Amino acid sequence: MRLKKWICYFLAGLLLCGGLFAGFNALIDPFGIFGDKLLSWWSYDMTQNPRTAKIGWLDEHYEAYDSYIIGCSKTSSYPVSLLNEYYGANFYNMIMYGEDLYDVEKTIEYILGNFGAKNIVINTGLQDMTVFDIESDNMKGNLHAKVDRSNALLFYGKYLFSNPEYGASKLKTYFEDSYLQNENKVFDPETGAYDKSLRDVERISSLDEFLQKYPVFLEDRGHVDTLDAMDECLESVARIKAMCEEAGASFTYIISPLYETELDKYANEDLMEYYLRLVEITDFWDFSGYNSVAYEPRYFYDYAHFRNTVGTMALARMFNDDSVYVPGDFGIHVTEENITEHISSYFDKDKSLKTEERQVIVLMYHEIGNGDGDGYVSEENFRSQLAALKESGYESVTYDDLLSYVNGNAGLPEKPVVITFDDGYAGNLEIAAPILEDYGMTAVINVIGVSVGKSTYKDSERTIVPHFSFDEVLPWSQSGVISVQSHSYDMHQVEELDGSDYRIGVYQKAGESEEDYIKAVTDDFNKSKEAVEEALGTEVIAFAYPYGYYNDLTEVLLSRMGVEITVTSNYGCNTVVKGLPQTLRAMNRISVTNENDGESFIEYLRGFE
Amino acid sequence: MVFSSYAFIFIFFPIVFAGYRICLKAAGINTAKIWLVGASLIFYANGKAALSLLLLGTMLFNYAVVFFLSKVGKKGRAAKLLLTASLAEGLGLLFYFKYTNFFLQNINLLFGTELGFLEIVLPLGISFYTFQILSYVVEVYRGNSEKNTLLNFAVFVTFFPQLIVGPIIRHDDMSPQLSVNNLNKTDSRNIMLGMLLFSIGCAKKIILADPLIDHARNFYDVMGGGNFFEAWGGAISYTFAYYFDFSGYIDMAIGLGLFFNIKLPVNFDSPYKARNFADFWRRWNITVSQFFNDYIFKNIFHFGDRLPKLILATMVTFVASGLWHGAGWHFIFWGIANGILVCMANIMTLKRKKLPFFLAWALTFLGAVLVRVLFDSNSMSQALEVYKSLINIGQFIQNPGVFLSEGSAYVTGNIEVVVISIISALICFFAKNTRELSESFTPKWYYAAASGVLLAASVFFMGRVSSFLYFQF
Repeated sequence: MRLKKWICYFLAGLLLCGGLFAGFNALIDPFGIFGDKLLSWWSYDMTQNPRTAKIGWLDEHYEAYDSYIIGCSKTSSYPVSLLNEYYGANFYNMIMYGEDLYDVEKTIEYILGNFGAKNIVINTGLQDMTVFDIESDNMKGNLHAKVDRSNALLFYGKYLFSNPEYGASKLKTYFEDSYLQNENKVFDPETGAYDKSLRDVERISSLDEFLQKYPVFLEDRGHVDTLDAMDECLESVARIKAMCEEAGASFTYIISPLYETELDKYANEDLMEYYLRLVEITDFWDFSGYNSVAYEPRYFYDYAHFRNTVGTMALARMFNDDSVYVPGDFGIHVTEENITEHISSYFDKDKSLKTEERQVIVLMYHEIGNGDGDGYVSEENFRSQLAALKESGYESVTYDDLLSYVNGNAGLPEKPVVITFDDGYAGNLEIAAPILEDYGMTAVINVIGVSVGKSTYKDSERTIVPHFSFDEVLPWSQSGVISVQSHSYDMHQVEELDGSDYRIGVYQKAGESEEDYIKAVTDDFNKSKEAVEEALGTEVIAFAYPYGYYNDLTEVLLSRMGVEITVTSNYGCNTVVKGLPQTLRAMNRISVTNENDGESFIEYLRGFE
Repeated sequence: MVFSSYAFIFIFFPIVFAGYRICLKAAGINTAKIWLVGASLIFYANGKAALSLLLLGTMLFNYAVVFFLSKVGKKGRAAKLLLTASLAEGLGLLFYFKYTNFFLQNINLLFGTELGFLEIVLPLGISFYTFQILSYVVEVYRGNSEKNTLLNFAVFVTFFPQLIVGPIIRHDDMSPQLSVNNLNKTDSRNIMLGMLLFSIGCAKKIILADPLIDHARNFYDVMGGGNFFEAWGGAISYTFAYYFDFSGYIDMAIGLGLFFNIKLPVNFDSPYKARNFADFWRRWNITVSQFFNDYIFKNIFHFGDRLPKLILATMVTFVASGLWHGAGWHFIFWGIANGILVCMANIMTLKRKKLPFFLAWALTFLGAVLVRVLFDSNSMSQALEVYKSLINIGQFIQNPGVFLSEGSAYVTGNIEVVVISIISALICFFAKNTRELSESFTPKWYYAAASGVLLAASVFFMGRVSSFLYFQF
């Protein structure tokens, strides 16, 4: 065989194999470079490289958006829905993790040039001023060639000829994927924001409990970061502003909320210079500084990222929305007029700033009356327990009261207590309700939908403790003494009565697919909610977990169905924090039994504080 | 620079080869050789000029030694002095770069001192080129080799295909190949075989060895001892990985050599088909084994010596080999273990005892896996931990269900590694090796196409997968 012929066959093999791999890379498209036609799994692509994949997404969907919020990963915490509401626009959250202002400028230039925009909002942390254009060749970190106008051939070539392991990982992950947000899909492609559905339903309570779980907040961030790239960054801001003006887009510059220890990293002189120079270029909103948000770790996901609830506060401050709780010292619109005053107080540290919070006790009763078993509290004991509560200064509140407190619309008494009854037994109305009324107290009854009004178990003949009907509870509901909430429709099953196929609380059954499980939980709650709302005309905003069992998936599902409060059977107190709806999730309760007469009751409760 | 990199395949080699051919045609053989030496020094420096300066210095020093050796006549006092100087220089540098910290560590251990370690960067390939140079100097001293021109000596020492990990070539094997006639000829068979061997080597390294090494390194660096399955998985995958990594590199080297019409010696001959440890060492890293055999073993053991001398010679040779492989007690123990296994094989041969083929092969492979643990562990104590895990079948006896579920968890969790290991085993145990392939090679279309496929696949998998992921929520 001659060398020429050999080379031909060699090249044929090379091209065939190379073509197959390149085709695979283009088809699976783990970085969203080639339109992700096959799997259309943009959440994954954006996680791999938000800079490239978001441009890929926008190229196809830009018509759905007319405004953009752009910046580092902190930017993700301004909810797009609120931006849309306040601006009357359709926002896309163009966050790029580890971004710098070079990325921002280039991206805005591309957006204005190709899609057009009504509003451009830039959110920056102080770290933005430390570097400029740190773009690397990293497949996961570089800008799209369309955006930075780098060599297109090299750019597409790099991804086309990349290691097929990237594509293989995407395929593998695709087939193993499950419902909940996970590290492989951290973005919501439609809004562009991080999917924080899990962190946003995590139970938060006292500061101690929180810091134990996230000790990172206690760590000193150590070194001082200097704002080395301030010159280039400020020039970039000026260019961006000019670009927006030229394109007829509004321009808003925000300095984001920062946690105390992150703020500590910067030198006062640097910040002063930055502020004085920035205000010459543009007015801006400043949410950083040692305000009461900065001192409250529970308002942050980690030391560098404030929660969506804080983003909500910031937007509410910008648009004077009184319906949202915003701490008084949080956020200021900085102009040339007030800059001197602003920086003169910026560095004042006041560690005494405290977030408003309340210790809330949620009591868990079952049936009132004289019966056997742990579930019964005698009428006499119940009355004396209420008397003791009153005497010790406790005031009963409803779930609505807790919600109003968290949302900043109302206060709470000094010693709030929520009295709850599980299951919906007849005695709750016959005995307990009149006593509650006597004491001017209220209670929540969590009813099991399938058992309402029944004395036998579901379709069987088996007698059970009688449950009240909706008709019976209606007048109590209307008078405000009793609020009815959900304890599931039929997820409070009993092994002896439901047989071997029974479900343990809201848990997944063995062998049940995730899809079926999600449908079961969703359908069950909807059925329960509809039954209550139809019969009583009140809204279901809370769910008491049968047997107290719950998991991340049920928390996410219930939250998506509008459940604002969930309670478990874990014993303990709760700390409810203003502006932090997570403090109403998976709340602890204290089970009350017949052993607690009035005298020992308060002592018993104090044991949980 | 490594062969299996974009920079080498797409930039360095095409330029060097084209330049070399142009020099040959346009400017003559000496220019071509200078080009080759220059290219080799750039290849070796890979951005760190000091490395090439060290190599250059050693080369010139030893050329001077050879030059004077050829003047003073063999085996006189002056010759002895020259040889000693060369040995002192070569072994001295080797000791300094490779063993200083190990030496300090043991001094500290022995005398309770707290001598600080030095920051020494080991120059790549120093163990190989030192041996290659020393063997030439010794042969000149012994009168077996002649002085060569400085240029030929420089090509012999620096020839980039074999500079970093061998194969170690003897001067007298290389020298005739540097003739005008040989270098000048256009041998398309050499080019074709060179392409095939390079592609095979590249694929062995990138597709088989790298993922297995990642897995095994993770085991040794992160998991320590691991459970029964993790330990076997780590040990076996490293056994295959090391072979494919090393022999793949050698295949590439031999293939590249052929582009220049230089045949480098065979260095691997299916070692995992060996049926005892003496056989294994005749098949594994052959040129280095040969070096130890010629310059250590044969200096102790002479034909007609008795068994104790044979054992002594074998043990000394393997302890030296262990030390040469790395500075650490586990390398010394690795050498001792190999020495013992080779002695056992030799004794069996002397006593004309033979195990059935399958048993002999299986025991040898098992031995290879177990001995590797000493080599791959980060310390002796870790090696012992791994051995403990390897024989830890207590769980199997107490709770076979849990044991088996651990096994299936390992397989499902590391399915890629398991598949690659199985493919590796099939290749190691049953496939033709590259020596056999080269010997029977006639250009065929499927070899050409296979070269293309393997090279393309290797190039695709060459890019490191970045695991960087910035994720907070």
